[in-house]
Amino acid sequence: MGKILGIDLGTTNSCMAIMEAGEPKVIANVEGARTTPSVVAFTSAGERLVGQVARRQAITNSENTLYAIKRLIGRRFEDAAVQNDIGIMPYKIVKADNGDAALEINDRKYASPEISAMVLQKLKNDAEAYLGEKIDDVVVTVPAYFNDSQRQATKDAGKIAGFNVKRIINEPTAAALAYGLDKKKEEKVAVFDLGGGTFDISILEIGDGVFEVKSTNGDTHLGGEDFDNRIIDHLVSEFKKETGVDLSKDRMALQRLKEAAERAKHELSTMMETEINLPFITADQSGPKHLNMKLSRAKLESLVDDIIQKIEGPCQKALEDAGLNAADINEVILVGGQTRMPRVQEKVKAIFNKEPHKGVNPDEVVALGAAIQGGVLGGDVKDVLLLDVTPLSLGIETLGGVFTKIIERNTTIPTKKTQVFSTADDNQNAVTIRVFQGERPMANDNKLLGQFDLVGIPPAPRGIPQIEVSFDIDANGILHVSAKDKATAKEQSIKITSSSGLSQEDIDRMVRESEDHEAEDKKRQSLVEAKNKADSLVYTTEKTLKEYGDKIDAGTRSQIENAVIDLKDAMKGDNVDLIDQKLDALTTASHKLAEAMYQSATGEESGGPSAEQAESTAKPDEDVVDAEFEEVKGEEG
Amino acid sequence: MNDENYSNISDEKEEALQSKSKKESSTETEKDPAEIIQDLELELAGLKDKYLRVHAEMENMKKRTLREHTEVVKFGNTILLKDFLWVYDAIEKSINMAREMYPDDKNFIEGLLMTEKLFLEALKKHNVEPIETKDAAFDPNYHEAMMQIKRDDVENNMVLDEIEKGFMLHERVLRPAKVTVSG
Repeated sequence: MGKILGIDLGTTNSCMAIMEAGEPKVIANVEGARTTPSVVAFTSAGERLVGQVARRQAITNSENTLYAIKRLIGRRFEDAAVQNDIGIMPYKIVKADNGDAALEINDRKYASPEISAMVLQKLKNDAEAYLGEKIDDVVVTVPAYFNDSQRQATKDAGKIAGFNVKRIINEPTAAALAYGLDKKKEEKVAVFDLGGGTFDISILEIGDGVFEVKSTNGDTHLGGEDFDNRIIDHLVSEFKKETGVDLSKDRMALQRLKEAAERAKHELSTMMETEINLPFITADQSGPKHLNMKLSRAKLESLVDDIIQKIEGPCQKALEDAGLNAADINEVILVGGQTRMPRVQEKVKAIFNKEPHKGVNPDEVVALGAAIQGGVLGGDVKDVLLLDVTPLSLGIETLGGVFTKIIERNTTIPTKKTQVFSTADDNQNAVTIRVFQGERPMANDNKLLGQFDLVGIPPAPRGIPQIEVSFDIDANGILHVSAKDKATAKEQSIKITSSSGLSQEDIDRMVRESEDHEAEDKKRQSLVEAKNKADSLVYTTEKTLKEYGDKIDAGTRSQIENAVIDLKDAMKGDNVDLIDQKLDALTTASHKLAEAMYQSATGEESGGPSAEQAESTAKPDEDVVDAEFEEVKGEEG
Repeated sequence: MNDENYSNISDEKEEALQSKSKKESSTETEKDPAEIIQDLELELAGLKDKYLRVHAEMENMKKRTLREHTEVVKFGNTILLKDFLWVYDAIEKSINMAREMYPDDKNFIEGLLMTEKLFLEALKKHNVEPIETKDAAFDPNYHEAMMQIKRDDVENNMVLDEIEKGFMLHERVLRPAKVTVSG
């Protein structure tokens, strides 16, 4: 069995998602949009349009542009809801031969599942285009209040679209899945769904992965659009007050107002005040007119206050029908774009006396839940290994007490990382590997997990030996640290059991501390780095002086020696700038030495040995040599 | 430092081997070795399969990530560019009004036209181009019908007027042109 697609087949918009590497992910349609309007149109040219394209030509083709078919699917023609829609909808609703509500387009009857199937078909095609593979199986969501015939009709729509409908699940259930509530033991969950046009409240009881709908209620004519209209009305009336011009008569102005109102509404969910700025919105005899108004969140809330109050009734009714009090509800989750509004969230919190869950995108949460259900049915989710991560960085102490990270925090395990280190002193015959855990740049500010020595390193100048240090965390979270001398293949290692009881609090605290101390830690680190660099330079310079000192004149030689003494002095203190200064001075002074070295190398025909020696001094501090190379090139050019 | 946290690997290996052999001797009497082998073979086959699946999924994800990356590079600016189109609308409106109400002020109108040009060129640089609607047949792939007006002198389904300019971003419609259509 291949992947199972999850589809939220909405009244106005549909959304699809699929499990990818254990996580549900929304799939965009071929136009690049994450939701697709549930609209189907039949053009005079005999074309069939689905989605945004269909919506765009609705006005020119209202009789043959079908939308909100979800309100008809699975219903009999005689249903009150259907009869009601006949008067409202611009398209023809007729009675099918079997008595169901059907649509008539160009003298041909279409069953409502047939139309919904066209939307599903587009989603199927677009999903297959995105994934690059065929999708046969699907999970489709329906409102909790759908009856058997409506559910069957939805299933039929899936079949007609070429799907194998693995399951029909309730929208609030899908939302609860997306929030991981199926993992809970016994919970009573309220799902609050406030979308563009309708409001649905469902009370679910979850027990050991089984969902039961206790009650549903709502308002089929309460949604985000009502909020938009309040803003538009306000703008129109204020503008009229200020300028005497009635914008509602100007179709073009109204269009811009509508877009601006929606935008302002969105902005006020995160800001306290916004400005609606529409220059040249209209004109009259006296000239062009501009609309420039501030709208505060408080004002918006007052404009929509009565709509917000309408939320309470259905919620209380739903609780009553479920035989519960607000206090009995364990979790509240939010679905639908309009729930982004702070006032709406406040109202929900006030009704249920609980902070609602809102981490998942409210426009996509139902589709994500459907995908998760698909994953469970497909056996995906069961088999998913819950991979751990290392909560804190791991590494070793290096020259100067610096903490050198080998494995970054939040790396998924099992994992193995290796890095090559070297010795700090000439003829150093052992290294001590000290393993630390934490985020501070200086090793001693972190937690020492363990240490061991690797001995028997053959004598060599510092920086020459290659010690390969490996950090290997296995699936059980046990850390194995090893150090191997590449020359002798001698190896030593230790095993450290994971985390050693670090609680989430400890981890959070350590991360926080590293952030708090970032500035001073950085300073210390740059001091250590400067000293290390200086140390290296002193070492190589002294070494080179010993070998080539006789090739340069006494004056230059003493210059260099003095620069070394200066640098050594600076290193004793803690002034980074001073150290850097003396470092540069020594580097410059040493150039003469390098020049002399190369001149002697090319002058004498013994280019071989000198070249070799040049190379061996190059390794410890490559910076210096590179700079010299550049200098020489410049002079020749 | 916790002494009990670390131990020498070789010691540990020996310990593990010893305990394993103890376990084996105790269960030997319970299960037939052939059965054990069968169980292990089944487990191995299962693990191999899982391993391959994970790798395959990883490969698929790599491919998808690459595709998404291309998508982000091409269309990542969509929201940003859409927001800037609002500014264009105001410029366009100012030009229309200036032409209508102050047609004699040619100099000022020229300044506005130059401003518009600047803006369109900036958009073009970022692969955004206006959708042409003049004398065009109505096409919902690029246009959005805001109004339909009966016109005897014009064929049906032709674009009559452009209410708001539409734009393409690469080959995608960034914003459809809002038009009135004959019908």
